[in-house]
Amino acid sequence: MATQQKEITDLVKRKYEHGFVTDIEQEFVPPGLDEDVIRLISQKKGEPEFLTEWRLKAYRHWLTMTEPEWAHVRYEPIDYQSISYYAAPKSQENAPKSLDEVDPKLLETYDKLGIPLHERARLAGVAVDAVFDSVSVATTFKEKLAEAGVIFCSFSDAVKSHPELVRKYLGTVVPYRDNFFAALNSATFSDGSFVYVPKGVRCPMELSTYFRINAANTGQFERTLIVADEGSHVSYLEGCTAPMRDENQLHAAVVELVALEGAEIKYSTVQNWYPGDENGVGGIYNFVTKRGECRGANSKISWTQVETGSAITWKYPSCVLRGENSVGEFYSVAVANNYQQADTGTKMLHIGANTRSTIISKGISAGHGQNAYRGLVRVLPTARDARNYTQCDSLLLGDKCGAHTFPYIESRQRSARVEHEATTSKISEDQLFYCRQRGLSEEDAVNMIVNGFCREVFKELPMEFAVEAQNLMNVTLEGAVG
Amino acid sequence: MTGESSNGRFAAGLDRLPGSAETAALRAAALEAFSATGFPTRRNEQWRYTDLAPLSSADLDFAPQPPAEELISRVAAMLDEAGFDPAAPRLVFIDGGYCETLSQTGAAAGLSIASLASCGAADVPARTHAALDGHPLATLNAALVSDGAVIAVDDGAEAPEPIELIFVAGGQSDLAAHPRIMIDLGRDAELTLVQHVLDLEAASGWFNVVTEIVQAPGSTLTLYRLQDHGKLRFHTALLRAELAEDAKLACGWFDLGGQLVRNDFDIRLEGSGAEADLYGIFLASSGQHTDNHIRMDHIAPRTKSGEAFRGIIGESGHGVFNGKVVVHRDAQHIDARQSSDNLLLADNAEIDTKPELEIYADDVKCSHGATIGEIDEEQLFYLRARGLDEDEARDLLTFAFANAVLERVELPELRERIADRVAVHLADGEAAGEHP
Repeated sequence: MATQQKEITDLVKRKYEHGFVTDIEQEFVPPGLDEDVIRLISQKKGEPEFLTEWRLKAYRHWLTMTEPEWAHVRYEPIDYQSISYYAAPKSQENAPKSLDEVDPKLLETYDKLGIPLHERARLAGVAVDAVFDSVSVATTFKEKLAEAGVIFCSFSDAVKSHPELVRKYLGTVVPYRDNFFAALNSATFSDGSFVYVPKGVRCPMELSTYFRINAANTGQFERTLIVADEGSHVSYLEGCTAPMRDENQLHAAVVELVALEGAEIKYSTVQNWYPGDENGVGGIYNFVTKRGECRGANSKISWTQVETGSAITWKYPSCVLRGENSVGEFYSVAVANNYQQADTGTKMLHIGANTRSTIISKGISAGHGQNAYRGLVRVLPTARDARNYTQCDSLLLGDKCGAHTFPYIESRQRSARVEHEATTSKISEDQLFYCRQRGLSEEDAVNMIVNGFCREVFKELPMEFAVEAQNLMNVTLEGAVG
Repeated sequence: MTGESSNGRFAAGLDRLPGSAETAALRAAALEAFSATGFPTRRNEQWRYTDLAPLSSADLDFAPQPPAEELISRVAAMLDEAGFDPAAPRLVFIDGGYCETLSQTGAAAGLSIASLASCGAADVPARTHAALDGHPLATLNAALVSDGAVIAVDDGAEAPEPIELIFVAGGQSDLAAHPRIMIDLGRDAELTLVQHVLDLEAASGWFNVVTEIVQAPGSTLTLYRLQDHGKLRFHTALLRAELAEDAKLACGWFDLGGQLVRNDFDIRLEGSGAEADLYGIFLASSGQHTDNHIRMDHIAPRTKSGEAFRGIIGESGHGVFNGKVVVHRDAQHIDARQSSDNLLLADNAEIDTKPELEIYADDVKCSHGATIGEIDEEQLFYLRARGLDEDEARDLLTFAFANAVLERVELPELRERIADRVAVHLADGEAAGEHP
């Protein structure tokens, strides 16, 4: 018991490894938000008229909305007027043409994070569109993608080079009226990624973006839009780390996915933002709206997420299953340690006939962490023969944490079959005993059991991420056995 | 509806309700508390799936008169015909008022059964008014209660046979009854209580009952309720129970009738070793709406709970199940199981289910499961292959689905009565709708 206690103490004291701040010049818009700030952001980014107007409409609508309170999380009220809504690295003014031109300090940052951009990209065959704060600084493998006809660029670039595509799809899955944070994002988004995969193209490589919040007081408001045209296929990877800061930083991203007939989008996330210190001070507020629409028949959208970071996570990657026979999937592992709070889950909206969805959610709570699964499965009368299977399991490590499940299941189609099951338990003494008896240390035994608990989700991740996720889990939960 | 207008509407009935000046002041205070919130709307998460608009806008009489002789004899005839034993210990209420003529309080050692009015109406709203916060309809009950049942079992005593509580709505339209049932079980006491709720004839109106249960250590309470209203009535109910160490509560809830039915359970497992087991069947068709809403608080360690409800939803019916298990901090060694299984029998039927868990302790075993679907094609085929026609096969499978819960009723006569009524209601629902 004593060693266990020590291990727990060690775990609690474990410092955030990626906590540092790179000191480079930033160009700020002064804190605060009004129509002038929005016009300024739009102007700085050289956006066309329609986008400026769209931002303003979103802002005006945001003013009429109130911050949602239904999530099972607690935090101090956010002062939206104290946030600076735009920060771009200075060096961006003379946009780098290649990696060599990138500010060496930036590259150093990536090195510290263990993401040697070019090497990693070359070795893994991954194109990386790295977002440093709000503006893309380096994009690789453009040519190879261009050959296949795939457009993969920063959102700002897309606005300039493919305004017609942006205009056609922006806000069609997550309208600016959708919710408080989506409206805020629509008004103020700084940058993000844009992907378009043309008809019948299978994207030749996995696309990846590393997000990073750097400057203090600048909430990041990314906007990601992925469109998979008929019969295409794309796999997208998103990973995050953030430097240590005492003030809470707001992150309100929006991700929109559109899958047309027969298309398939796989979206994987490993989120490891700064969760705050062991006393719950600091950390990122991660209020994200992610939604994909299976617009065409036989399309498929699959979300996989491993959420280990952030002080507060408020995130429900969802699927609108509009096309006949379309498929939605959600695989999630969420960890809440120390004073972290996670309220996460998914929505599966069955509209088309014979649509199918699968939800596998694994929640792990430790320390004083509060972990909630919140999910909606709604079957509309049009969704004949729809099918859903949901499984959400919670694992409790320690007696001060909480695990909660709030599933909403609504069916208005009798031929639909909906199944939901959930369990909550801790690692049993029997399981531990069994492993110990076979010579495993307690720590290894816990790691093994936790990884086994998460296996169904990890196996959905692309290989590089699966390895990273497993290591992340091992480190995060070392010795935390109650 | 605004608080002001509802206040005025109920205040008119308030003058005619029994009680001393003190009681009247308590009633007024409860009414004020209700008026501050008014009827809950769907914007309230607890009422997300149930719209009380038809109830809040209905023009109802909130102070029913005592039943006339003629009505009593009609009710007596109906109860006889329905096979109720007049000699069995029972309390009969007509339109919420106690009917002594038809009741049989008997006398067993250690057991006291009485109507609320006979216990002194002054105690009525005072006793638990404050404890019902967060339940606006129960607060309204506190303001408007006129009668009910008070049942107490002394330490170590055991009620020799089941006690029946029979609530009959007398056929006059637009009456609102607000009865209150109070059950106190002493240490190691045992009681079985069967509650029947029925209409003399189909009429609109509102039945808003509050049941308060206090169980001392080691006591055992078995409750059954068969709600068999006509399809015009609104029925809302709150059952609140506090269980001390090793107390056991079992509730079998069967909702067959009613236009809009909402059952709230608020169970508090306060003593170590306490156990609560809730199960039931609800049928909803022909525009019926039935909502079972459970909050199960595991406050003490080593407590156990089970929730198992089955819904059968037919033509234009709407069923709701919301079960919430809350395991409090340091309440270790908890076992909680929840299941919500639902059968959709028609195209425009709707079911919404929300089995929730909120857990703040780690040594727990909690699980929930929910299923929604229609009758399994393979099972249907199996029966068809053995010579049953489509209708017979469907009826048999539907009944079998309900029977899995019915089997848990331990009183054979009651089980048979419920089974018969379930069959009748299923046939009714079928006649209203059609299947392919």
